[in-house]
Order: sequence, then structure tokens, then C-alpha cells
Amino acid sequence: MTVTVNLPDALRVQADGHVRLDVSATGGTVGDVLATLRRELPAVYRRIATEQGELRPHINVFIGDEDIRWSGGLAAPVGDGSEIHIIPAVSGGSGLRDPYQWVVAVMIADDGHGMWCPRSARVARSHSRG
Amino acid sequence: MPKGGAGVRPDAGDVIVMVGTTKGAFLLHAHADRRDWCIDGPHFPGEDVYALMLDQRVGRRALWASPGNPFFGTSLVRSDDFGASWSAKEDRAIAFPEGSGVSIKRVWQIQPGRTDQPEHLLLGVEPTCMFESTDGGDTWQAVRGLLEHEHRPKWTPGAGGMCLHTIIPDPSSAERMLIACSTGGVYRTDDGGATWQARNAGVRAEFLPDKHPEFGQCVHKVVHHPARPERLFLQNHWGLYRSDDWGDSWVDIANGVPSDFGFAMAMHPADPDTVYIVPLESDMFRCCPEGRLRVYRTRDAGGSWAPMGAGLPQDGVYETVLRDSMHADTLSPAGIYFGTRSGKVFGSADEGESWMLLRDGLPPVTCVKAAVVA
Repeated sequence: MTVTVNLPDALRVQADGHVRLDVSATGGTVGDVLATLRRELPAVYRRIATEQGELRPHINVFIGDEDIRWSGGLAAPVGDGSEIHIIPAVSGGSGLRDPYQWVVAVMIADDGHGMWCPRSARVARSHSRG
Repeated sequence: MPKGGAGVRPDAGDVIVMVGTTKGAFLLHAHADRRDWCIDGPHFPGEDVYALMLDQRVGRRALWASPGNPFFGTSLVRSDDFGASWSAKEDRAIAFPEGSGVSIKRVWQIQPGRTDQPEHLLLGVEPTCMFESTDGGDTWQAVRGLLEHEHRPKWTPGAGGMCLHTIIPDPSSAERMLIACSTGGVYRTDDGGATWQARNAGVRAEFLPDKHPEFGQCVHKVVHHPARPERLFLQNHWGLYRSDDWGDSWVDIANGVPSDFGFAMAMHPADPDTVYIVPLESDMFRCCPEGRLRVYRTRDAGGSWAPMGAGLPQDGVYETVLRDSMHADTLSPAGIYFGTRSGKVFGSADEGESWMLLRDGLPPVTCVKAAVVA
């Protein structure tokens, strides 16, 4: 299976000057496609996913125009010839790293070093990440 | 790699003040008189930089930085030409072992090893752990004694994250090292990092029902002087302490400060009894007390503290100085520097007697490190 992976321009350097990549994968999921990236372009991969294989919190992945969050995550099926888009989320530009922290910041207008334990606000994660 | 700075070209004896912010790093440069400062940056525009370090052991001039991109994660980069260029070997990527279940969020500290081990480098990271390199930073390994520490499940994040922010190697013993994490407290190894013991006796945890647990304290910073390595000074989440026995015991030294809450702490480069802090009003109001920005200095190892506010704004200012945002150069008289969350960098060329605003309008300052170019 071969799919086209569209990268944000910010990763052009790590992708040897390209932002559209033809990627072959032996399996049929997004995770299989990323596994190929991990082998062939580790500098790109590690900016998309953590060393434990999880997507970074502020990275969104789409198959066509469908967010994989709603279609199985890394297990989402991709077909031969699919277009995958890797796009930074709007939630990532605040300087605060985790979506739940962003929500806490809005709720209490804190400076990022406030008294609230972020753990207590994890429930807000899904609301901020979209 | 995105870069806004062109680098600086200092001469030997010049002073470099490295400033990390939430949106990039800046290099302030002055001659030894420290009167006129120029600024270079931002390096890594848009990325947060919580750790900077200039390694001048064995004749090198290696400037290390850890830019963290909110989207793409953190990295470790090095410049051998004071910021004119940066290299990041992809195989230098720091990573927890697969299957450990934890991933690097941020580098909080880059620490050179002992001078007799010039290829030894250490990183303090979030989530709490230390990474070690024995080949000058080409490869890194997580320190298992901390990664698999029995206390680890009970360490919790402070508001800044669950970070290991302080690393103090013992200049007299390769086997001993002290670290501090928030929360968790102070830990020390006496066997080269294989095992780590909590060293928090006397340090209180105001936010817990048991105010004096074995561990779990929210230590904000620890400093010491290499000439007297067993003596440590600690700025706690409420509390100022000194240890004279490598952390085996701590005594309260909050004598004459407007608040014993604060983050930043800096050691004088030549006097083991002189330490600088910036008290903040409280955990609920993390700003300088009374609307006055004052550094406090002790010259008797915490027996007393004196305010040093000449040249600092004293009327209706509410500044915050974070844990790694104050540092000293090694000249005599010593230069002291600190940065604020409002993007100001202040400096003193006379050990804190008087201050000048070196730069305003920067992004929120997360770390300040000063060095005299060898």
C-alpha cells in the first residue's frame, strides 16, 4: 500500500525539503504508515509522535478530511492511494503544552504557574483539542 | 531550523547572559565592565527554552539549548560559535526507553559533569528523570535509578510540571550527586546514580497533611558552592533552608525576608556564604511583595537577609521570577542577573548593590544563565 502524507511546512527541513511524501506501508492503518516514517524519516516521526508511539497532543492527523480521532486513532484504516494530512492543532500556540493546561489557564486566568493541579482538569482535554 | 539570531562574537573575558523565554532564546553580550549590552535573538523563535548552558571545559565553547516546540516536542541542540549556527544530531534525540510508558516533555536543566569528566553531561527533564551522556552529548541514557525509583508513582506535578530542575554533582566525589524535583523533593546518590535516597529532613510540605514527609516536598531550587560542596541552600515552596551535611538535614534560614515563598536562587561565584533570592508574596499571589521588586542577599549563609532594590522598580510592580531565572557571572565584583515573567532582564555589576534594566519587552523569561567567556 502506498499513501501520500502531507506534512506542515515546519517539518520540511526534517523531510529533506519535501512536504508531500509517498509512503509505503505493509499494513493498512495510520499506525502502519507512521511506522514507515519512523524507520525512514525518524526526525519527522519524532516530531509527530512520542518515543512511546503516541501522537503528540497538538498534532492532528486526517485521512482525507476525516480526523482520525473519530475513526480509530492510529488504528484507523487507510486505503491505497489515500491522502493523509498532518496538521498542527490550533491549541498548540499558547506556550502551554497540554490542552488541559490551556483550559485551566482560560478558566482561572492563571499565568501557567498557578495553584491548580492540571490533573484535576484533565476532563477538559477533549474540549480543547478540537 | 528556524533561527532569528545571528550569534555573537565575544572576546575572552566578555560576559554572555543567556536568556530563555517562552518564545525563544536571546544572548546578551557585554565586555567585562558590563556597562553596555547588546542582544542577539530570538534563537528558535516560537519555541520555549527552559534550559541553556555554556560548557567551557577543556577549551570548548559549547552552547547547549533545549528548544521545545509546543507542537513537535523538545530537542537538544548545540552551537560551537555562540549561536551563529546550531546543530542537532537526530541520533542525539533524548528518549525514554520503549515500554517505559513515559515520554520527554521538556528539558529543565543542562548540567556539565565534573571538570575531570569533560565528556560527562547531565539533563534534568520532565517527567522527572535525569539523562546522562558520557560521550559529550552524542548519546543519552535515562538514569535507571530515578526512572525506576520506588517513590516515582507518588511524585506529582507542580503547576510548572513534574520536573527534575536541579542537578548538583559533588566536585569531590564522582559517586555523589544531588538532584531536586518538583514535587518529590531532594534526592542524593552516593553510588554513582544506582540508588537515590530522599534527603528532605526538615523541609516542610505546606500543601500536605503531613508537613514533614520523607519525600513529596515541592523544592523550587537548590544551590551550592563548589568550594564548600556539603553546604546547600534551598528555596522551597514556602521555606528557605540550609544544609551543612549534603542534605542529610535542613535548617530554616528565613531570617528577615518578607516572604519565604519564591522560586529563584543564585549562588555567589566566590563566596560560599552569599546567596541571592527573589521573594514572592505567596503561592496564591506569586508576585514580588508590596509592589516592590527586590532581590534579597545573605552574606552570612542565611543568618540574615538584606533587600537589594537600588535601580529596581519600587512602585506598584508585580513581577515574578521563576526558578532558573537568576544567575551570577564569575567576575569580581560578581554580576548578578535575573529575568521576569513580564520579559524584563535586570543586571547588577556590583554584586546586587545596584541594578540596571538590560532589556525589556522580551517574552516571559524562563531561564537566565551567565558566563564569562574563557
